[in-house]
Amino acid sequence: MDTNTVISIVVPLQQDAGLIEEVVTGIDAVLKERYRFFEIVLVDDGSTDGTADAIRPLLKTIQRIRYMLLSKPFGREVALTAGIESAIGDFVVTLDPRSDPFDLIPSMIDCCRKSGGIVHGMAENQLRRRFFREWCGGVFRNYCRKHLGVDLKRGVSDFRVMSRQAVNALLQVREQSRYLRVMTLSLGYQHEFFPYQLKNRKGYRSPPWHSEVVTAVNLLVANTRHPLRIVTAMGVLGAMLNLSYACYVMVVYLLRPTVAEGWTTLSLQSSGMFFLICLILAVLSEYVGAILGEVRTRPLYFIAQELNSSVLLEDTIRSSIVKESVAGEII
Amino acid sequence: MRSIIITGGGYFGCSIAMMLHERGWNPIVVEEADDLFTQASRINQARVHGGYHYPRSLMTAYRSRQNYERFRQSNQSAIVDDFTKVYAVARHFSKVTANQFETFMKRVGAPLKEAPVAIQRLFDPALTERTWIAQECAFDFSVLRDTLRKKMEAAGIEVRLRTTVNTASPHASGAVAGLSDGSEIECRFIFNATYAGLNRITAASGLPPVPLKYELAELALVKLPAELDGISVTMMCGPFFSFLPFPSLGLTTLSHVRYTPHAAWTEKDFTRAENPYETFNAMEKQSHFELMLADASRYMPALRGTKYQDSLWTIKTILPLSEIDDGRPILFHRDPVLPSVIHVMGGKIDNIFDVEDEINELLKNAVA
Repeated sequence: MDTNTVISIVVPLQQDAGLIEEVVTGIDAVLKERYRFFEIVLVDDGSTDGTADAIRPLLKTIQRIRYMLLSKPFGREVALTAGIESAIGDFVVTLDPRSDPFDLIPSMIDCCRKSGGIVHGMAENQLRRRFFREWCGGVFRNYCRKHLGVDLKRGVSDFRVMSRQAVNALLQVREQSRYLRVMTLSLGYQHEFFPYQLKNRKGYRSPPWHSEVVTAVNLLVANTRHPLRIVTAMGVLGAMLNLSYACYVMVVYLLRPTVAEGWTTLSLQSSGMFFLICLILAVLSEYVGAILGEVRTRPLYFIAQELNSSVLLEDTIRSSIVKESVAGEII
Repeated sequence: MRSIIITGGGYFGCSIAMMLHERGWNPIVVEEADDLFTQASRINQARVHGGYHYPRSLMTAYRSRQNYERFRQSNQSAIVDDFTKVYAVARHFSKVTANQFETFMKRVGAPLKEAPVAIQRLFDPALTERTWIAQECAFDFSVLRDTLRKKMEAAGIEVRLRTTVNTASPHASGAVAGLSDGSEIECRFIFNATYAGLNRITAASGLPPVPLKYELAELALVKLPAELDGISVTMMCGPFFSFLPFPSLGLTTLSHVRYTPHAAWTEKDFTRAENPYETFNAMEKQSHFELMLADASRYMPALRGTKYQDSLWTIKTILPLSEIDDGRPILFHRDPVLPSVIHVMGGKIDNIFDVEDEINELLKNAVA
């Protein structure tokens, strides 16, 4: 029994009313064994399926639940941030209630205590996507390793243990684009990868194709200027081509007084230039969007409600009456 | 019949006794314990509220500020203010913003000064929005008790220790108080100032109960690390912490809005003379100090060096009505069945002056 460490478990919820009891009692059972002080921070990302009502009875039976309802769905990453921000623990654990096993939490915490940094859960039995998606994922992870300096291992999920030091560092980062898997890796600190098996609880599903693409684009736009560098290079190249083309036109004009049909070159030039300009505009607009997000310093989320455990008196009264006068089993 | 029985020898009971004496009545204080001031008057945060605590209720904050000045003036010997009072507003989860807090306190007349850099540096800027130095103080309950005891002795007020008022029954001149030593005293009024014990008399006398909620509350008694010596901090306004000197023990109390209350209960059976203090004694008391410290040291990393000494455990009595708004009213409740019994319950020691007006009103129409 560890009586000196405070553990916080942050559980993001999104339409998980049916799952909540299993999750909370499961976490409680595992942690009660090992730790005297812990809290379960449930962050409800604006669910409308009666999650709050499902939690209310649990507040009466299980100690140290904190429930926060965000005022609308802000997305998994913001919900996690809200939970991490309010977590008080020396170690903060985040997990996906739909898929992550609770019984590994203590060993991951032990691992984190040794390294003092961050322990990432790495799912070994992650669903294999179709070939093309897997290939895209591989390319993306390679790109991240090269240009973001971030080694996104396959299967790394939100099952994570962070030391207080790492959490404090994370909270200093107030960027709007909050992809915690990358953000935690880019903080520095010691990283450990902890292999585990996913459990498919009710409601588990892998994220849809389009949302993965959106996440990837957001991630690149927020974290690296590399694509912008390519655009800059292309812009310079286009400008040089334009310049030399202008010179060529001038030379032709001076040397050949009878140029009548120039339709092919003209249209080639304009379509080529427009192609470049459109491309540049597309990428620039992505960046302008990112800048806009950063400039707007509105809070990441608003809390609509916070409920706390209020365990009934009967459970905390320790009766002074004993049934036996001696300790030991009755034969 | 100029006798008035006051049950409960705490700060409220004794102060009411003095008020009655000054108005020419003959108060008798009945106290269950061996001494005065043993429960709520002793075991609390020792804060004299300067209005800073109620940044969302203009009326309460204003009253609180007025009472603060008066309490300070009239209890100078018990006042301790040789420490720096820091108020801070948390960046997230706070119910007020720094600007709101500042503007509000200006309106109430509670002074705030921007904290010097040395103080600001103690706080994590990612979690703390702004810090100020406030004008507030603590009180030493033992000085308060001894002063009041001397005053009462000089006034010749009778104090019966180790005695309780068990029942109150009607009488032509007012009421009869049935004491635990078997005696019965006829009197004009009975003031029930027993804080958490209010309903022991109502239940035993067949009077309607006063709805109350009880809370098992813990204040951690700690030794602050050297760099926080002489500093008191209150983080506003929500599930946050505060620490304040506890003069009578030379320690500091650490409390936390989320972790100080351990459990709450209400009376289930009003017909039984339930004693909340017995329930309190039976309850399991495992300190939440670690949790309080874990949260507080996020805001103030220097707190990590805090040494735990002990915990003060107490029953906090709450009026169900004050759970709805932010106010902290004083209960001054004439019993509807037996109007000679008056239940008085105040959540804060510095609110005593509000009781004076009520007593004047009560005695104006009272025929001895």
